[in-house]
Amino acid sequence: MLEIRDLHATVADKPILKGLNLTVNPGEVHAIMGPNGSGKSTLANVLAGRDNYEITGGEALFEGKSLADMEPEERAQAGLFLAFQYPVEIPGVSNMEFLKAALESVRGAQGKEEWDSVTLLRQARAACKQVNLDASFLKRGVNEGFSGGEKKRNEIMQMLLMEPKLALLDETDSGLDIDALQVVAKGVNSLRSPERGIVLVTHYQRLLDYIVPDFVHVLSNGQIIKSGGKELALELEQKGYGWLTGEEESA
Amino acid sequence: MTVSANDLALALKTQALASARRLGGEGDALAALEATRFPERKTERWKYTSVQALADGHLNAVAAGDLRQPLPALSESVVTINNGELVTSSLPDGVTLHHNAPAVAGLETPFAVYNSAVARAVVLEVAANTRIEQPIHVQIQAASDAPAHCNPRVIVKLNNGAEATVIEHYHGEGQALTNAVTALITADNAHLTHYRLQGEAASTLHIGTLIIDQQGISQVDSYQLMTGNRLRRNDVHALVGKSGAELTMKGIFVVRDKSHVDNQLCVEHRVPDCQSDQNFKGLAGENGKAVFNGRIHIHEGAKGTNAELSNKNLLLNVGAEINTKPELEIYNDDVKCAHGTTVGQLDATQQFYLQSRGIPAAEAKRMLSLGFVNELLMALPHETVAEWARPWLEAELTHARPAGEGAA
Amino acid sequence: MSQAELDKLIRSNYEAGFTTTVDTETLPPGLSEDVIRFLSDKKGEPDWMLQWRLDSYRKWQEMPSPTWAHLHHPPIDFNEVSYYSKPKSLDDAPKSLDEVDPELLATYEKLGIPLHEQEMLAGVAVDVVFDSSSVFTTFKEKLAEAGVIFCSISEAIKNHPELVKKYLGSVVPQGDNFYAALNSAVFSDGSFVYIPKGVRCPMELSTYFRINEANTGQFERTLIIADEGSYVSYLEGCTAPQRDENQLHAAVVELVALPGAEIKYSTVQNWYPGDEEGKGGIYNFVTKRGVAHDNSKISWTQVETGSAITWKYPSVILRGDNSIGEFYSVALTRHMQQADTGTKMIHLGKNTKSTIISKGISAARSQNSYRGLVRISPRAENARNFTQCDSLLLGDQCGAHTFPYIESKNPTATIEHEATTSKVSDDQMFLCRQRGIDPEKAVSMIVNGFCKEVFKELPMEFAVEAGKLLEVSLEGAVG
Repeated sequence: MLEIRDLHATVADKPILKGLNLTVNPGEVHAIMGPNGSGKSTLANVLAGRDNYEITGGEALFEGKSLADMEPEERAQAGLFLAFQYPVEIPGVSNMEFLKAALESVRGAQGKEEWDSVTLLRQARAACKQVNLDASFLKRGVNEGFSGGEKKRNEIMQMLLMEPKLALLDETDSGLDIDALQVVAKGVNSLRSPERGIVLVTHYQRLLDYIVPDFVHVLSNGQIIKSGGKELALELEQKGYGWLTGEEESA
Repeated sequence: MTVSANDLALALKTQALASARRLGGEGDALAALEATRFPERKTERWKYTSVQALADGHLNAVAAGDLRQPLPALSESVVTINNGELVTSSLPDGVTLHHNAPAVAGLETPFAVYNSAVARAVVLEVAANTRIEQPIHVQIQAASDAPAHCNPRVIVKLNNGAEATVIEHYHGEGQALTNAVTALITADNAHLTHYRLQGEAASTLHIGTLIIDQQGISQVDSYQLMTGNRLRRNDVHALVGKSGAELTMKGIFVVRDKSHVDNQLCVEHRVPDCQSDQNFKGLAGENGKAVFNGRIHIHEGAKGTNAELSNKNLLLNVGAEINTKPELEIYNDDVKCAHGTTVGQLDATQQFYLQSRGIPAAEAKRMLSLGFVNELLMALPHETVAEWARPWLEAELTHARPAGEGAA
Repeated sequence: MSQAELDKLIRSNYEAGFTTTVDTETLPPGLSEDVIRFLSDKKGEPDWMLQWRLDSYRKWQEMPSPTWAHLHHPPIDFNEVSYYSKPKSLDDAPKSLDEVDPELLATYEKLGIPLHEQEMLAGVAVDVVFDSSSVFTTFKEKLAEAGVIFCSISEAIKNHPELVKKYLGSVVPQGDNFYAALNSAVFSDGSFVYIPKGVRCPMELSTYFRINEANTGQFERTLIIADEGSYVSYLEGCTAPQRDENQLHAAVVELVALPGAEIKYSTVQNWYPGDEEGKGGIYNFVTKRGVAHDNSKISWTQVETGSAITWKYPSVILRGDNSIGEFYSVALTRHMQQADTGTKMIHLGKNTKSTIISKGISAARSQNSYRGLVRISPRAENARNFTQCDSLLLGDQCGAHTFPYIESKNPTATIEHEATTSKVSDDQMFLCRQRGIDPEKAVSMIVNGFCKEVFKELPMEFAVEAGKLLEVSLEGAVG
């Protein structure tokens, strides 16, 4: 469903991705690991279409269509979801009205039946419960005054509701304590299905104890330099990235 | 005798022009004075400040009195200006004193225009890439038993990469009006630490303009401490003029008796990516009146500006007055601007806590008042200045006692 | 967010911009004592009213027009304005809706204000002012049962002269300011409300103002008196046709909250703002002020989206002890609009409290200024004020300005003022778009969120209208 071929991309005109190849099929969970600055977050943002993240070569196809030609909201409508590393606050816009607008747009575009307010509220409450977020968060401004962990759980809550075809999780594990990590992992695991692809971008192996990937890739200097099964993550945990990138890495 | 504000405005202009001609003012500077208008009843920028005290005729005579208690030197480097005239100077290598003054941008008040027409500027120029360790103590003093004025004008110029500390220190006795202009001009990579200490006698008057002209990518940190007197008016106009420049201003003003302070600050951002931060605290006691107008003006195109202003005030008793107006004028969306202002009183809970530990009410109030400004006192980077400022302000605060409590 | 997206959002059309063809009696432009005599005579006013007008006119002639606001417009030639326009069909005042000119009814239907009582939102009585005249007031009888007087000011002058004489000009004196003096001389019509002691007005009262005739000034005058312990919520809406010329609107609103009373006054102002190039639009110079006596409360809520020029400072004089004043405002400017608006809270009584929440949104080449005054007098023991003043800028050619005057003469008073400026950040837009929300919708959601503190102060019907005005589709779906 996701086909990335020789992808080159710049951030504010600085080359970051330098010929990246990756294929994600439905039902697969991929983990993308790598040292800081290797381009992990760039990949996630390029796929979602953030401003200033520009594809300068190669292609990224989602269900056969070039992502480069699509606006961010069109990508969302097509079923691509990004869980942000740093979710932004939108004061005064309640989570609920935000979700309603998002779901109307995305479900409408996918030809799914529209949810009325009652259904939406029921579903949203259920999703909150699943990630241990009190339902009162629905009334609060989007991420407004949320703690770091609450923001991350809010992302997963949205993901559960939006039922994406492809979920990209950008460092969703960073800044989470072990309990929150388990909650997030439970949420992600509940979405695992034969129709859905999941890409986990992470620095640490820790998350992969709870969400076991089918494939692990190591990203360095804008390219995938090694791919393997879940055991590769364990190896990275023990040895660090230095043995692959040829540099000492102190993180 | 009280004259109407509009009549006084005309009289002051006549006096200023006559005085300027006597003192040899000529050319464009005199023409500018001819075109200016002195504050009238409805002049917005003088809304809270009357210049009625000048009806005594300060502009008719130049101060020439002897100082009874001149300032102590706060540094080995000293420049002394008495009644507007340079008296002595002792400066380290790297600093030259001359009178070849550059034009000063941003002067607006009629008093500054008058100063421009008559003053002989003292220019302190710091050589490029030179770091001056010792603060330069600029003593600006005035004395006159009868109403009279003087026109000190000091220009501090830091060339590329220069670093210096200047203490601009005012002292006044009798009925002197100090009509001052100070300009701080900084080139690229210059770093200026500036103090403005204003503690003239309550009977004196002070009308001053401070220009901060950051022509280069430079840093200016300005600390302004002042007490009230019969009339104190400070116009501070900062031109943050080159991308990357940073300005901080911190200040404390204390008014008591019937004294008056009017601070008119304007920080102008004309170019992208500069920062300014202003933090002023005011205390008004007895029948003192304090005015604070803090304006941030961000021009079209000044993207990436980060500007903040905070003005917190304590009103200590009935009879005192505080007028504050934090203004924003913004012509650009890509900016971060905020201001906050409060007017309040000492916290009753804190006061009770201190009293319950046996501290008398008046002392508790003094402690809390000092605590209110302590954050800014602590921030003074030079110990010599802090050592001088602390007892001075403490004395002021002891004097600015709440009503109903004896002088004892 | 890209400029193109913004432009699209802020270029939405003015839906109330149509004109109505009705036969009117319109006085030729020009102002003189004769004009005032003529219009007073036309309205069948008693002599005291005429003299009051003439007195105001003489005061006005002595006054210069104010120049202190952050507004730029060519000088207004007051002799090019017509001071009286009235649909001929209203010559004999309609006794029931059946007698009202169908063209007029259609106008209000089109504006979404059905006058047929059976179609109306239950519980809202409406007075409708078209150019200079009150068209019709609904629910009169039902209000009369509660002792509430709700009629046009013209009727009140005839039927309740003692109340009008006592209170007209008591809050905004004739010579208060240039535009108030002009209004006092030539005011055409407006609403009058009296709520008797202890009565809670059984329904929301509202007035819709519509300027139709070209070159016509509208000078309405509203007077609301809430007697001791009473309560009233009053709503005001304004629209005007899209014309190339500027039209003048100079209203005066006076509120009197007697001890223990509460007045809630809400405005949705949507006068024609002019086009993108700044052509046309209403010049709106309004004086609104209330006096709050002991233990009373006056609350102003305004949503200002219209007018080429807005000059308006709804104020409260907190005369009585324990009185409360509130001001909640959203002012949106776009195109070449200029707004200079804010409030004055004058604390005279002990334990008085005021709250100011102002949200300014500037777009395109507009200028949006908040101007406020908080004054604590020496005897206002324990006065409290809180002011929050936020600006949202959409684009790099607009302006957002703040001029808050704070004057305190009482050491037991506490005043807090905060102001911020922000823009719709790229990150916020990206989050919304990543969740499938189109940019236009995203902006209006974010703007709506920015205004939320003010919208929640509006009565339900108006909140909906205000939300619609800012192109907001979801409000209160989750309780």
